[in-house]
Amino acid sequence: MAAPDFIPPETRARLKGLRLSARRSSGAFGFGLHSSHQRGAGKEFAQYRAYEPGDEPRQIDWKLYARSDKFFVREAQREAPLTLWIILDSSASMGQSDSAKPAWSRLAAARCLAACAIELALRQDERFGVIGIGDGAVSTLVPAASGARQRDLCLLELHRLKAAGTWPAEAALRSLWERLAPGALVLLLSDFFDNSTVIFAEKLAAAQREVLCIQLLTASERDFPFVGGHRFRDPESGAELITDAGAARADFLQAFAEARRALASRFTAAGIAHTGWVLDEPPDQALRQFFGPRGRRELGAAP
Amino acid sequence: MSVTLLYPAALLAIVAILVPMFLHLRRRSEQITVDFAALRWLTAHMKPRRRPRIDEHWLLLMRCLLIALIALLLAQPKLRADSDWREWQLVSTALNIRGIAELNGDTGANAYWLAPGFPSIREPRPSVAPNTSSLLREFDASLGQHDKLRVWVPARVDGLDGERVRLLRTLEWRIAPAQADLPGGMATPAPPLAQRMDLRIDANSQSSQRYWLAALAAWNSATVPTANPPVGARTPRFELIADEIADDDAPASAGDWLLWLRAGELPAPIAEWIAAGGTALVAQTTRIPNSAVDIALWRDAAGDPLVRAQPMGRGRLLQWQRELIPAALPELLDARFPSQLRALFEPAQAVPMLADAASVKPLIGAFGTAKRSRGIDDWLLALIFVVLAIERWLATNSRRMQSADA
Repeated sequence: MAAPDFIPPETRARLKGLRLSARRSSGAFGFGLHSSHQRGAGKEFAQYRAYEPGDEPRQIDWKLYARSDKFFVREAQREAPLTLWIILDSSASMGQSDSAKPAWSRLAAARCLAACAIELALRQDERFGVIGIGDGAVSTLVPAASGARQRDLCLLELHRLKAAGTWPAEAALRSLWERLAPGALVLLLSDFFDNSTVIFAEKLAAAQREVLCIQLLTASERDFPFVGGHRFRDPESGAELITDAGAARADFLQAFAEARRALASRFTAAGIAHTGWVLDEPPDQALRQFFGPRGRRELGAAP
Repeated sequence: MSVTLLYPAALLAIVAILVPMFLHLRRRSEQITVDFAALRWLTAHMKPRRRPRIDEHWLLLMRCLLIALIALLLAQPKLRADSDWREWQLVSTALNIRGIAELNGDTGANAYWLAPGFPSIREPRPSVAPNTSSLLREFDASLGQHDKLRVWVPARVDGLDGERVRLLRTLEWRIAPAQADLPGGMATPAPPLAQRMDLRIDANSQSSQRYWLAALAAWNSATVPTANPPVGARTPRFELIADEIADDDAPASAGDWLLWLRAGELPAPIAEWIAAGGTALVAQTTRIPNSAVDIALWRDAAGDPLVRAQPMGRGRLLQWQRELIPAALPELLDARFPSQLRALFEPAQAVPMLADAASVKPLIGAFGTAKRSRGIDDWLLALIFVVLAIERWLATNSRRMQSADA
């Protein structure tokens, strides 16, 4: 079975300019594109040091020897590999979609974003893994690895993911801490309506994981286009509310914007890079906030 | 031309319009559940919105119209032709139409043969048995209320039935000369002047001879009522022929009645005579051929057959089932014996169908109503289907489906 392709062609074309990078160096072993404070073999210059017996002769900077008549060894920063964990919220609220595009649910969009991130990681030969959390447990876990086979495995698991249930209690997530090593890059895709999801992100950030949060919002939550009486139902709790949408619109938009501001300030306080992304926007826009050429300077300035 | 309703009460079905209206007002968007995860930031704002709101005027209109049309169809609207009327002429098939001025030329255009299907008299004369009464009633019932009818009949009308014809309208009853060369069926064979009865008796049945003689005498006395008295005919004189011809010879005439009361085989000449159309009553002891058809013609009070009949060629063979002595057959001594015996021989009389035309002019006052209106069901049905198509189109067109989703 061919791995499903969640990335639209035009989005795939725009992924070219993106590049995964971690704010903190991981310090792990191995070679990679990412800078490390550990010195070693590599391209980025770090320092010269005096030759010691045992150093490889090809590491000696012969031009400097010509100038100073002493052997100096050129040391470069060691490039460290990066581990990208993509965590998808697959609770029932992620199944919500806009009426204009019923198939494009929050979960489908999250799949697309995850596939884009996987594509970036694969291009840079990073390790990556996928975790799906929903229905009261960790529903999907693909251990981190690299390579095209790993990508296909992740895409298949993403394909299997269904939006159901609620975000689990904290105890159910303890096993994840063994997987998510410190310094790992964690991309969390959720609507962050559930406070426990936010707490989970805050804990990850506090425990030295670099957390990137993308809040997925439907267009109806941004615009609230409903007119007249409607029966609104919360897919997770099953609570229902009959209200006159036109009258409730202003209050809702105000309360919702307030909630997003509060969420943004919590993320910023926890040092979490975050952005909001509405389903009718191009998928690469959210990733561009994190991995674009201008880097992550404007992080926390989510709209 | 006006519209009338056969069942005005069916218009009550229009009340059913309330159903789509009720559904329409009830099926409002608040009945559609919207998944909305950000529910906690949403507050209930219930305006007192009991004001009925019509979302899709055209769809509702079409549905109400559909129900109204169906109710109208149930009410059976009819177009009543109040003023227009036509003149019709019916011509008996026994008539010579050349001799009737009214049937020739333009006035004959509305003339039809009094025959099944009522072909125009421009068509050849249909050669069917006349069935005047029934056809008259049928044609009359198919006419409009104000239509006029003229019927041409010969002096002797054939094809009448037991009921005097009663029609819905006064009609012009015209008597015209009949076609001369027609085999009119008018001439029925006159009953014979003398009915001969051929009695062949052997020694065993000698004692029963007195009963036959007594019956014959009773017939000739003409005071004995017969089962099927021939209409308008004289009662024939009955003659007994006994021992005048040889025993095994056939009777002289096919119309003779044969009483063969001898034991043993039926002689070949007798059997041939029966097969040629004769009627014979044989004794119980006579051996007759078996037949698939065997009918009990006469039963006693207990229901046991006294005489059985079977066909033989074109004739009939009757056989006593009892010995011809009063101990076995008490009916021999019964006062009704002569008439019952005669009924065995006499053929069934044809029902009289002929009558003098002047005396059977149809009366007015038939039971039923004249067909005075035309139904418009077809047009109404077509309209209903058109409205249904529009309703379906409105209900399923894509713009609406999208707005219903929102």
